[in-house]
Amino acid sequence: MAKVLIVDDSVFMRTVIRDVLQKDPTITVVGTAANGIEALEKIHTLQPDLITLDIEMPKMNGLELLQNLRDVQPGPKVLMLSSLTSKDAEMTEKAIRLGADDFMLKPRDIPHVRDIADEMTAKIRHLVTLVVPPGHNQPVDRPARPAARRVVLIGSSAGGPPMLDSVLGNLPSDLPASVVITQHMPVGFTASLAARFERIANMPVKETENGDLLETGRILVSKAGFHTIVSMAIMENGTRTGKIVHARTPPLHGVRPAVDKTFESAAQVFGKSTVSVILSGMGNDAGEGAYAIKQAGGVSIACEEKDCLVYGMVRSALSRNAVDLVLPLEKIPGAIEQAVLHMEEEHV
Amino acid sequence: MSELEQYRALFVAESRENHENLVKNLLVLEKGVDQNAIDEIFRSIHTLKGASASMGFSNMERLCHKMEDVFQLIRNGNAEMSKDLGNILLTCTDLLEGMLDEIENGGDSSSKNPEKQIQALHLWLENHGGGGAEKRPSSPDASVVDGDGSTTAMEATGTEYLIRIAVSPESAMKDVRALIALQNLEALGTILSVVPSSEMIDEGKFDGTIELCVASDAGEEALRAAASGTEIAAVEITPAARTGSARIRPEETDKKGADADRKATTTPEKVREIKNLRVDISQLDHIMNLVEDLVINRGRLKQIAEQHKIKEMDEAITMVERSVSDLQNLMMTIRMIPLSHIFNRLPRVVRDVAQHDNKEVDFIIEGGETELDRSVMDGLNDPLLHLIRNAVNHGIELPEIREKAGKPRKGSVKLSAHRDRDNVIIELTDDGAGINMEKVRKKAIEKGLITAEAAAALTEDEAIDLLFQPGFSTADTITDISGRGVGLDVVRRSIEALKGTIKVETALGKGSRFELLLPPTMAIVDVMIVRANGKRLAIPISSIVEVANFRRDTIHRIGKGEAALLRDEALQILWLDDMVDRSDRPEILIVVQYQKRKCCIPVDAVEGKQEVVVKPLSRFIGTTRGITGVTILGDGEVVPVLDVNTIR
Repeated sequence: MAKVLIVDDSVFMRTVIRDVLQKDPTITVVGTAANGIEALEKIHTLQPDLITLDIEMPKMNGLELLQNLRDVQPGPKVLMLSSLTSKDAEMTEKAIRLGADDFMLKPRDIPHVRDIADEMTAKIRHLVTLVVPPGHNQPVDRPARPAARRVVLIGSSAGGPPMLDSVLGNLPSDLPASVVITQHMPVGFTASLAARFERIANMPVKETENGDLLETGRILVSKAGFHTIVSMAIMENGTRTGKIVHARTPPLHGVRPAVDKTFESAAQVFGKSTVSVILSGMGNDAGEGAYAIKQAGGVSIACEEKDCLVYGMVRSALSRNAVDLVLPLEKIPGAIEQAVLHMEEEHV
Repeated sequence: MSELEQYRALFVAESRENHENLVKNLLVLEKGVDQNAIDEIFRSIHTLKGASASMGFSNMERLCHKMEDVFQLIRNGNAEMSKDLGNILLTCTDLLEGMLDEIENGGDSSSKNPEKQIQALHLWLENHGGGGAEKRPSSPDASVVDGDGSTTAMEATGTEYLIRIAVSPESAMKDVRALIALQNLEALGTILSVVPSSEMIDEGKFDGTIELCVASDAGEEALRAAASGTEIAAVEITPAARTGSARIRPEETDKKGADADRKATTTPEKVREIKNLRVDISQLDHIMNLVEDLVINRGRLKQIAEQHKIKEMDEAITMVERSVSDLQNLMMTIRMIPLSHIFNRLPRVVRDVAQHDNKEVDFIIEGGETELDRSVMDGLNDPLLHLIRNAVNHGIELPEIREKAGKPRKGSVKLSAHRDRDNVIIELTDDGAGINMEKVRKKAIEKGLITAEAAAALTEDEAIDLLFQPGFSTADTITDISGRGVGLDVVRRSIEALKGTIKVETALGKGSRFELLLPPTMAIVDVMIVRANGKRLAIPISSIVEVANFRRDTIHRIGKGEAALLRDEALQILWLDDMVDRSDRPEILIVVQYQKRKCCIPVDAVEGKQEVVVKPLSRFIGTTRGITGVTILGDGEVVPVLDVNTIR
């Protein structure tokens, strides 16, 4: 049983969140707090495994609470609940840097709250079991990161972040490829996502910027609000690699970044040196992209249904017959590594 | 839909509070700068925005969002409150009020168009540098945040650009560089013309610069990034001749306009409609009875339709069914009242008892917003009062004694309530002396409730149970506060009458904790319909823990009774002989649990699960152990509903 404390200054929000969480038999809501001071007391008495944390609160806000929590050992896991504004996005990134474990958007649109209810409970279950040994996962930054000649593309949407945790956490620091993650997310929040992955992955992680070169041993997270297009770049020494172009082309499948855009453009540049991975996600983004990668001779991996919160994206690829391997989540990092190494043999 | 409705009242109540707070503090700001008021306003707007987003009231959300942007600037000290802004904000709050009225009446604020106010705020933001203060230049992310549908015309249609790319003269492979730039651009849009053409470049007719015209919706930065690269000396991008799709600037909503709006909305003076009615509770009870009848008849109709297989009737009944369940749910919620109704009276009780006993007590109440059915609430008042008096009177020690024991002078009594799935849990904890189980045993022997040998053999749980025996009181003297000849037995009986349970945990010297588990409503219960000796019975699902096969070889005689062995657990068998006579062919064991005690009831068959209305037995039948009431099934049969708590 995961013991959860809800911290939010709005009774309305507390009620909505509590109702969402109580539907999950593995989660008990042990209490609620209306501000940081109350939360500190209740964390002390109730010993929750996890707190959901609002940012704006009277007396002591979410960031101040996080600062105070640094002295609490072992403290609860912290799931930030943010609203959809650029201000909150910025605060969320700060919160992640202050030690919050994960974040998601506050429940919106109650009639469709079930969609996010599953995501929230899945996230909580994931977080309370997630163990990141302190100091263990310091990303290994290589002294010089050569221009990438192989690329691993990961596409996901609803339910993706916890899966990305486990994939990135298990990729070795010396993976001879660049990794580009395209996760559907509201504008402003991908920086927080990158900051969060930085703590888990064995390679440095950063949000994409226009013109970024794809470098071996670095993970890029597509910045939301743009399509991440991989275009070709040639280095001084004649090496071909990819670079990131942020396109403001209208959303595709209602999303921006769209996985299809990244997959398709990268397939053009990297051809058979491309590995694509599709994780959980709603809708049919990723199907066309995976097909393009297959056509270009790349390897396309998809996660098994049982490990996906939503299977839509994988299904869209399967229906185009564009998947080489369907694997359980825990086998995916190994498969990525194998695929990348195998490519090297082909290349040389 | 029902999910939304469930929160509507709470949403309106909280939003009204925030709205009032907003207006109040805006008026404070009119008198002068007040950081506290600014913080309050910001938080109120922030909460309003978050809640309206959750409810999916997009107009309200957008308005609040803009207001939040404005106050963000003011709060950070990047802009100041002015009279004009105050006026704009007040028109916004008027509109918010209108939205809340509409929402309260079941709407979603969509008929109130906030465009004018949003535009006015937007203009103010632009004038105060707020438009881009927290946004990266040329990324109008507000439009993206507001929903992807509203992206501006600029990016939706492919805009034409003239691009001039110059490869640096030192480059050893000018043609390759140019071709890659061209290829990258091709991926982002349509190349309308290029000089020199790629064929010419291939043929080596290339002097280091290419000029092209591209139609793309990817944006200028994207094009620049795609065209740039190693050994590219310069990229010039100019939008091609005005395509006419230039963004239309909103007409300036001048301040006079805003003033006029405010006047228009404030006059005529608004008359708030009457939204709440006082209804006699007996009328509500009557409606509830009618709803119960409807539920029963619905079941009857359904059976008839099933028997005769009339398709049209099936459909009609489905519709009726839907209305009936909506009605039923509605009635349930109407009857729900927050616990604060009775909780709020308790601090005074604690204070009085504490004063009388010369004790010092901190009384904490939590979860007063938890709701219970009125009928449950009515029956809860007395037992709760009793428990609280007990806690102060018997639980909390005198201040001097507490200090000697190394505790703070002031004792603490905490009453909290929360909803736990299908139940409401009320907890009462004190940090007093706890219950001395030795004393309890001694007292029970003295009072002749139990023999000394039996007392010694009792487990902790069983000993605690003694407290609930009639005629038991642990206080050394009978006081006029809690000792009135009624003991915990009465409390337990009252709680059981509400279909609830009571549990006690105690630690000597540390305090006690009483936990009441109550159903939020009594009227409608989920039951399992079983058949025993040819007669139907209903058993509340909440008390069933397992349904197993009845096997004669697992039945053993123990003392006077019989027990069934189920996975190494001996469960007392309750034969329903008194009720339906001994069945000669029991096949199924229903394992029921009451608190920690498990037992099992052998039945012939399980017929199914059903939601039923439990009707209490008429008073002249008297209390019948083992039966809480009866229910009428769809076919008109009257079936007794078992009460596992009192069955013996």
